[in-house]
Amino acid sequence: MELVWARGESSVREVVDRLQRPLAYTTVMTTLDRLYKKGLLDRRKADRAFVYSPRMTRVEWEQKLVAGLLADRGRSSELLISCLVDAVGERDASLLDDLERKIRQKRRELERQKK
Amino acid sequence: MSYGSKLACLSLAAFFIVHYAAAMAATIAAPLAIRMAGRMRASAAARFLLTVRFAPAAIALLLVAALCVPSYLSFEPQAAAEQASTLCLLLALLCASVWAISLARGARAIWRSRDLRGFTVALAGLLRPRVLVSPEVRRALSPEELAAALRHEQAHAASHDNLKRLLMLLAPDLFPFFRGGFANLERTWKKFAEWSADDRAVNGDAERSLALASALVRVARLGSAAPAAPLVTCLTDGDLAARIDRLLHPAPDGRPDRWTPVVCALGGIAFAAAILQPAVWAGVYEILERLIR
Repeated sequence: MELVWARGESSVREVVDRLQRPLAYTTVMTTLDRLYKKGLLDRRKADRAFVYSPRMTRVEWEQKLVAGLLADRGRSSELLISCLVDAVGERDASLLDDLERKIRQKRRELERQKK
Repeated sequence: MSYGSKLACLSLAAFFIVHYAAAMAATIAAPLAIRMAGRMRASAAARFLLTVRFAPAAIALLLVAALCVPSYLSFEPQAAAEQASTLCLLLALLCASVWAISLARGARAIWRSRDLRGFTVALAGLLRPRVLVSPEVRRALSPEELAAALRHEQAHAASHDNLKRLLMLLAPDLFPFFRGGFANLERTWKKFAEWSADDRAVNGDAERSLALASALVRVARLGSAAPAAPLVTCLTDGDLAARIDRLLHPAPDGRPDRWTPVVCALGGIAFAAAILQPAVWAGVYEILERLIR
């Protein structure tokens, strides 16, 4: 989902090429098919392959997820929100670290190409 | 009911009917429009979605101003003593509520966007927007990063994005307190507006892309103590990870949007040809008469 959210419409091949760990083409194809059947992705046929696109934005998906959690009556909303705030802070910091690492890597690639 | 109040009542009712029909069509077409926008260049996608968002209100305004009002003024006798029907009054009331809600939303957004304390890098102002850069950002960013951040905000200023945000808030909803597919269109427009400003800021230059990506991360790390301001564009708005991914791995340029201007032009010509026909005015007057009775 992260890759499809980032790129928009993507074929199975494009997702396979952009994954950080190597996965078989058929594994990715099955996963995308399952995401389509669960209603998270849309797909259309282009040539002889499917092209997948997100059915909802990341924000919409997160809103749905949180609404689902809050709707569960067995939980304390205050505790849940406090945990979420902590988790979001930690996740934001690690996301920014990850993005910074990608930028450094790209800068190194560019410098190598120049040389 | 006086001649003027009947005209006002009919105009509001006609606007509501036409707008409702067009807005329903836009709501149904919204997922398709968003998919089509995904295949376009970011700037073309933003323009296309904006056209779809404003089309219902524009069509309704045009039909009322260019057809309903002139046909009423031409055919309705001054002395006609008629009372507007309950349906007509109800539709006029719904239209007035939809506009009142939109105006209140716009006014609230302007009020909430006055306080500019706490912003790191942002574009504020509607007609003559200015870029705000906090002292922390000036210290934290390198000259290249700062230049990239400023180019991004200037791209928003050149596209009048703050003004477009206000117009979206002022555009009427499908029904009072119900936005239909408009909310989705607006959210996606915001994403493409950010992508388009990124594209204009880097102009295909890999060094500039890196500088902007780096500026985005640094500014995001600084955080923001600013209150939510709907009419202020911030550098780190939108999905940061997706924006940085685009900057680091630019995809081949999407298609330009050739069809929207053609469709708009053809629609305009057809409409102009229609309003020049006396039979069309008479037909519209007939419909208005039925509505008022």
